[in-house]
Order: sequence, then structure tokens, then C-alpha cells
Amino acid sequence: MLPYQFLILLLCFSIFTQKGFCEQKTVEGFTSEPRTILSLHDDSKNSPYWFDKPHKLAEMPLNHIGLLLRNHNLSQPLPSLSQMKDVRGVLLWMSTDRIADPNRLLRWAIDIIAAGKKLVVMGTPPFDINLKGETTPGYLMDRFWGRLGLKPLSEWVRFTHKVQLIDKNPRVMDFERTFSGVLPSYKKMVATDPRVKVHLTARQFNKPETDTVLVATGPNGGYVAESFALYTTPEGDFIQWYINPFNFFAKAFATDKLAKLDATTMSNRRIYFSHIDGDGWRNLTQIDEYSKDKKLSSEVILKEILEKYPDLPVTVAPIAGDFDERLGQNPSIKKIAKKAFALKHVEIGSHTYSHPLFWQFFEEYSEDKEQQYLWLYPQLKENDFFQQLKSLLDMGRTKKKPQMDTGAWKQALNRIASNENERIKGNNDQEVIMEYRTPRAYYFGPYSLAQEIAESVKEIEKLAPEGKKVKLFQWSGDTLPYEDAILAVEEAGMKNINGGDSRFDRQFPSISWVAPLGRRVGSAWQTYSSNSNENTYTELWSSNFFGFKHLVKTVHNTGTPLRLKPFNVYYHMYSGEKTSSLNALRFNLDYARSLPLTPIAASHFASVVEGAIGADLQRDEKGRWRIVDRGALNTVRFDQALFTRVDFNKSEGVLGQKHHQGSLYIALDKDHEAPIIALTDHPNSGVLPSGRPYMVESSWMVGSLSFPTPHSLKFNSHGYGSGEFVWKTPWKGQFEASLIDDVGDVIDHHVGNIGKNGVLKFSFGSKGLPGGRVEIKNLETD
Amino acid sequence: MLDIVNRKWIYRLMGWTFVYAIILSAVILPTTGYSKTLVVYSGINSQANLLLPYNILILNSKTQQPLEPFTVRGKIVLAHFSTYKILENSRYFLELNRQGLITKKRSQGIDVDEFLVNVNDRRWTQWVLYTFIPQFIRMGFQGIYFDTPKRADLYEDTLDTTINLIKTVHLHYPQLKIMIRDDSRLFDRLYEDIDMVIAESLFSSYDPVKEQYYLLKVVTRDRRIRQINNMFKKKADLKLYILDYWETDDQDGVAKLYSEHERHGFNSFITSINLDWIPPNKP
Repeated sequence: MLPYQFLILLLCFSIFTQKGFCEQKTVEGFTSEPRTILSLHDDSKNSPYWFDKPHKLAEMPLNHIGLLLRNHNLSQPLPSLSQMKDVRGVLLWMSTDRIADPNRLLRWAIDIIAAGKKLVVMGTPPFDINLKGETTPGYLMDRFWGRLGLKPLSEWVRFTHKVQLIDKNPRVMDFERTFSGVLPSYKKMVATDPRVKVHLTARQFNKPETDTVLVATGPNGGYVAESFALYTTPEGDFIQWYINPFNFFAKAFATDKLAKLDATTMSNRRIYFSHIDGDGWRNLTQIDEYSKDKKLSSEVILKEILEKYPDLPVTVAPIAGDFDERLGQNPSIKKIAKKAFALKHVEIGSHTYSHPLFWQFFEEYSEDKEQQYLWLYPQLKENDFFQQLKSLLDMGRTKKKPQMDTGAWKQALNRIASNENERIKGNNDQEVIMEYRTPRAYYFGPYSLAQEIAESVKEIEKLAPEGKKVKLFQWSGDTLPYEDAILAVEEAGMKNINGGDSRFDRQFPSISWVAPLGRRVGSAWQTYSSNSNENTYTELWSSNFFGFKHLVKTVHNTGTPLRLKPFNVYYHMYSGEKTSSLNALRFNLDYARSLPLTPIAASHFASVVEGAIGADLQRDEKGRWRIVDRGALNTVRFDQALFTRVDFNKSEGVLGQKHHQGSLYIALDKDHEAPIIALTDHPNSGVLPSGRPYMVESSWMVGSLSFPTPHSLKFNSHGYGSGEFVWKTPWKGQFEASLIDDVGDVIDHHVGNIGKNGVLKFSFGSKGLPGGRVEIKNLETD
Repeated sequence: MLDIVNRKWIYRLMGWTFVYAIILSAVILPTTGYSKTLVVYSGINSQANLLLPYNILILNSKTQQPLEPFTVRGKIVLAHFSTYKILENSRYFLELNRQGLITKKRSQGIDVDEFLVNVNDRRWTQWVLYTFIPQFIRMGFQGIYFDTPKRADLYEDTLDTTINLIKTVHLHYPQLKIMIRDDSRLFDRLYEDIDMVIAESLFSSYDPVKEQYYLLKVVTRDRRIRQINNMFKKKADLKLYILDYWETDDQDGVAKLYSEHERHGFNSFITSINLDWIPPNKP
């Protein structure tokens, strides 16, 4: 090689590296597909990003279309291109109209668009003027908007009574709400790039020359004018989208063809999981048949729910403090836990030791800070003779109203955010604590993270059968733990959950109330529960105790026409207090039994979510997809996939496929380390695709699929309840399916006819078999 | 004493009146009243109080009527959706036209601003599955009535695609109830995918040229009834509904038609050709 050739190569290398062209890692021809959206947040007011619109409103739709949101505080230096290897695009949806240095932000934005990142502006970005009142140079503004194929004009249209909305793209506009009444004012904007697709235009006085772009997407991103994305009341308690955020973001961030790592589905069925926070464990039930013997609500849950629904797994997470004898002794409190933990379908969780209610209070904790609340805590029995006597008479049971896990995540955030300015000025801790009366439910001494996590686990595991461990940590109170708390849970080998509190029903008629997968707190990850608990249905457990039965509406609305969430039954032990609340719970569980679901443990769901956010999604030049480091995530989804199917000959580690609601769900073999998916055309969209035998759906998890002969297959499978299976095969005649245990004994057996389309359906038992190896044979091989 | 005797007679009279009232309501009303089962209504404005008594509602897919009051009461609400035509005032028309999916204006029909859609274009199936059906579900519809062409010349080259479209909807949205016409070309290939069949203009219909309602010939009607009976052989749990058109001011005519339907054991609805009428005083 000549020296100058070497120099040119070196130069190219350095340029490409600087520009980030070499930033994506390549494995065997596969390149990582960026799926992070960077959201810029003005943290100058000390308000964390989870109060802001990108997390509250945009992140769930982004999650659904396969993207992850990462917050970046503007007080930090803007990331360089080399730090944005995994970034697909940037979302600018800020609540502020001025920042310290808009020039720096504009230059950065221009550079990242030039490097191929998409950029979406929602609302009015804080570009025009800085905090000192200095105007941003026009050429910078023009260059920025020019990159998006747009040009802002100086005019604001404030009087909109003669404005018509035209050229509405019905796939993007009028999603949950149509515009009515007086339109919001807007700044004039025109499209300069013919590739920009305008989804909504405003026209004044019926004159085309006044046309203004209000919503648009283009090759480099998208734009929505201020107040044209969604409708919200000033209090923020009613929100509805004008734009369809799924379709808008999919166009703006070009995700139509992207493989989506889907945390709602397992074995091509919707995931079901359930978890109980221990609040109310000691409460006396008011249900007639139990109250006469002064039974506890936890015992009612044990007898009426846990023992009667063995096909539906549930994680039971007591508050370890409830077992602390300093609160009063009652042998049945621990006995109930022992019985519950002994049940096979019950997973054990921890709901902390002292039940922190306001986690931020404990991030920088001092004993002095908590002194003022000590008199409000339930009195411990150890030093007080009269209390000890009362405790003996009371046997540790309580009629006290339980302290709430507020659940109402967004509602609480909105309430707090709406008073943001006062909070910043005053004592914000104080204000939030007033919602709870005390920073935590119990006081056993000064707060320690070790007690809340490690010690709570130790105390709870004392009541568990040998070898059965605590798998899940369920956040208490405001469910907004700080980074170290989440990391401590991770270090203890547990998954964590709670927060989110999704609702989507008549009271909350918008996807705005459906939470994202979780919350990133520094380097830690908190998985949100998928549905709200009974608190938000019962006015924080004060009325309408039947209200939790309306959960089914949210379950329906988050299941169709888009599957946004698993079916999650999340409640507290105090649901065993009242006949109506117990009936509501039964109603939800019976509804779950009526649906085709794949039930899994709650910690398993948290692992699925962690798999979805942590996996490396890769693509090769042939358009094949490879998923690496996916943990427990076993579903990949392709949207707008009527005419698409899996090409099994070119795929690896794929169990099967199912067309559902316009999408193609693909079940991955849980035992395959790095599955590869190849797709091909499927012209006959009304029928199941043909090919080698594949799984259409199952209620159990499936792995290690193999085909010993063209007329047989085997796999490992386990789950809860009866194992239901649907397979599509090229076979005819009869088939035989056997479930074989570890020692080779057939524990269940099924012979049936293969349907005319090669579909075979069978199920194993109804008593919750442990699973094992499944072998299926076609009995007519000629 | 007289008082007591009189009182006895009064009680007896009241008792017999009650018995007669029961007999009358059981025998006479069903033959002169309206069906309680089906209603088909194309208006988009609120008619909730009139619609509430019905169990199966086929409503305009653009209805502004909130549907939850019906669904919470266990009613089934279907969106009336044409597989082959679209109105010019539809909010989707411009975009479909821009994409070249609109073929031509319908030369005949009740609605003069109807346009035919290129059903054989894949993108039409995509529109139905990706846009229309999700929209219907968000509105609260639990199923779809797929309105397919009655005239063969609008149909022959699109029959396979239409069948594939309905099968695709069933495959992707198995929870949705599906209703089709009593068209054997459709039924024979779709009976496993559908829940309900509607026989339109079985006893009576409307002539748009003469602008008048008319009774169908008995021979024609009986032939269709035989075809319908054959459908039950393939699908025993099939739900069948009749939709006939008649002059709604002619209460006697409407009542006679209902009697005929009932004599045949049909669940039916009789309305104007524009589907814009609901019986105001339904029992």
C-alpha cells in the first residue's frame, strides 16, 4: 500500500469515527439497530424528568413502537455523536420556553440531524430567546428548521375564528378527540421540502396562501405545533390526544419496519400476572362469614383467592414489619404467610420492612428529619405495659385504615406538578408528606436501606418453605424510589416492580393514562406494574369498594385494538376486608380465566421488561433480525404485517408466529441464545401461513424445540393451569401429544384429529401439572 | 252487603281485565308491534333512548352515539361497513383518492355521492385492518356488518378478495362479531369465520327508479328462504336476521310484514330505505 493511500484510509477512519459512522457494533454481519429516543429535559427547576410530558405521555407510545426513552438533563453537556450510538432520534417536548443557551442546542440539533438522527419537535421549542432576553440568530433557526424541511414565518395567528383545518390525515389526526370550538393560536410554518408529509394544515379566510403546517413528518423527523398534539385541562386531570401518537411517532422515527421487542406477550398470548402488596395484612375483615371469628383480611385472601385460583400465579409481598412482634403478637399473622408461601403458584415478594411512603424523604435521610413525625407512628409495644396489655387483647389485629400506596401515579404527579412552583419555593417534602401524614407507615427505629431490603427479605423468607426465595421487591408508597434503593434490590438478586398505575376507562378515557414500561433512575431501572390497583378505583380505599371490578375495562382497552399492556391484577391484602371488594377481585380473576392468556409470575414479567429494554436488536443486509442479550423477553412483533410471515428456513430459534390485530407476533425459543428472524411475503392474509410445523399459541412457556423426524417434534414446556397448545403443521390425520416428566414417565397424553388446515389443538390436564417434555407425533405418516 | 257484592264484582272485573291484558300483550302485540331484537340505523346523531331496547344494533360506523350504554347492558353493537364503496364526505375519502384507491363514482344507488373502491388493491385491505377496524373498536363497536355488493357486476372480480378481507379480519380480530349477507357465494366460504347473517329485502324492498316500496314475489322469497335453511345445515348456531324496507308511515303495512316475519320465525327489522328511521313508540 502506498503511503498516501494509507493516509487517506487513516483520514477516512478518523472522519467516520468522529461522525459516528463506525459507532454501531457489527456481529457476524449484523449491526445494532438504534432504538433509543433521547428526550431533553430542562432540569433548572429541580423537577425530575418523570414529571414531564415525554415520560408521562410520549414514552408509552414510543415503547409500543419498539423504542426506549432516555432522558438527558440540559444542565449536563449535550452528548456527542459517539455517545449516541444507540440513539435513533431526539424528542424535543419541553415545558419551558427559554433556556440558557439555545444557540448551543440548535447547533447540536443541526449536527445530529446531519448525522442521520431523527428529531421531533412537539410544541414550541425554547429556541427564540435565551434567559438573558437575547434573540437567537435567524440563520441558526433557519438551518435547524430547514433540516426538518420546514420554515417558520414570523407571524403568530392569535385570532383563529376564521381558520379552517384542512388536509387532515385520518391516520394521524382525530385520534381520541377532534378539534372543536376556538382553535389554539399558532405560529405560521410552511413546508420547504416536498418529502415532508403534512398531516394537518390551518387555512385562514379560505385563502390557500395562508396555509400553515400544524402537524408534519418527514425524512428527518416530525413537528407538531403547540396545543395541537393533545387536549388537556389546566389541572391536567383530563387529557386526550388529537394526534395518533403511535402513527405519528412511527412515521417520524421510521419504525414501521422495525422489529419490536414486545413485553406484553408470551407464547403468542397476552401475558397475565398478579401481585399483592401486603398492606392490610393485619386488618380485621368485615365479611360476615369470617368476621364473627375475627379473621384477618389476609386470611380471607388466602382462603377465597389464593387457594381457589391455583391456575393463576400470584406474588404475595408482605410488609416485613407486619411480622414484627413489636406491633403486637398474633400467631395467625405468620401462619397465614406460611400457608400462602407453601402454595406452588404463589411467588414470594417483599413490600419493604417499614413501608416507606415518600421515598425521596429517605434519599438523604437523617434521624433528626424524621423526629417531628415520630408521635404519629403506630406505637410499638415493647416499652409500654398498657400497650402490651392492649396488644394481648387485640392479638395484633387492627381496624386502622391502612396507609396507601398512592398508586395514582400520574394523578399524584399531576397534582404535585400543578403546584410545582410553590413546591420549589417552599418545603416540598413537607407538602408531599402531608398527603400521607408520615414519611413511612411504621417506625421501628432510624431508617436504613438494609432493613427495608435485605432484612425484610430475611424476615419474610423465615416463613417460606425451604429453598423458596423472595423474588420480587414491590415498591411502597409513592413508588418513586431513589437510585440507590433500586440498585440495592438488584444487588440482592431481586426484580422490582410498582408504579405506573395504568387506567384506560370511562374515568380515564385516554391512552395518556397508560404508563410506559418503567422508569430509568440514574443507572437503575424500575419496572412499572401494568395496571392500577384497587386504590384508584376506591377513592384511595374510602368508598366504592366494588370499584376494582372496572379493571376489566382497562384490560380490554389496553388489549385491543393495540395490545399495550399485559393483564395485571394488582391489589392489596385489604381487598379481603369487604364483601364488595372481594367480589370485585373474584370478578377480575374469573374474567382472566375466560381469556386466552399465558400466566406468568410477576417477577418473570419484570424480567421480560428488563429483557425488552436491555436487549441488543440487530439487523443484517438481508433484512434479517437477530436478538441478543434478551433475558426473559421471548416475543418480537412486527406491525402492519398482514402480508408478512416468518421464513422458517432462514430463521433460527423461532417457535412460531401468530397474526393478531394487524401485527405479526413471533414467539422465540426461550432456550435459544440469539434467535434470528427472517420474514417473507404472505399474500393470502386470511389464512394461517404454511411451512414447517410451528406454534401458533400456548398458555405455557416453550423452549428447546426440535424436530426428530418430519412427522414429529418435541419441546420443553411449563406454566400454570392447564397447558393449552395450538400448532400449525403440514400434517393430516391424527396426532398424539404426550407430556413426559423428568424421569421419562408419561404424565399426560392426548390423541386427536388434525384440523383440515393442519391445525392441531390440545391441552394437558387442568390441575396445574408441573410441565416437562412434550412430544407430538403425526400418527399418519404416509 | 250490597257494597260487599259490588266490591266482589269490581275485583272480579279487575282480575279478568288483567288476564285479558296479559293475553292481548302475548298474542296481539307481537303481531302488530315491532321486533325487539334488531335495529339498523344509519343516522349519526343521538337516538339512545330509542335504540336502547334492541339487542343487536347495526349502526353507522361514523355514529356520534356513545356505545358504552349499550355494551354495558349486554347489547351487541355492529359497525355498518361497506367492503366496496365509500361516501365522498368520508374523512378518509381524500387520502384514499390520493392513493389511487377510488375507482369511479357509482352510477346507480341511493346515495349519489358514493364511490367504488379498488377492492383488489392490497392497500384497501391494509386500510381496513390498520385504520378502520381499530377505529371501530376504539368507538366501542363489538363487531362489523360487512356490507357487500348485491349486484354481480360489481362483484365477480372482487369476490375472492372480499372473502379474504373478511377472513383476515376474523384471523386478526377473533373477538369481533362478524355479520354478512345471506349470499351463498360468501357464506359457503366464510361460515366458519362469521357469527351472523342478515337477509336484506327478503319480503319487501325499494325501487329507486320508481321511488316506491314493493313486495317481493313469493317464489323468489321462498327460494331465498330455502337457501337460508341450507345455511343452518352448515352452521347450526348461525344467527339470522331479516332487514326489510317499507314505507314507515304505513303502519298497517309494517305490521303485516312483521307478522309475516314472525310466521316464519324470523328476527327482523323493517325500516326506510335510507335506514334513518327507528320506531318511535316501540313496545
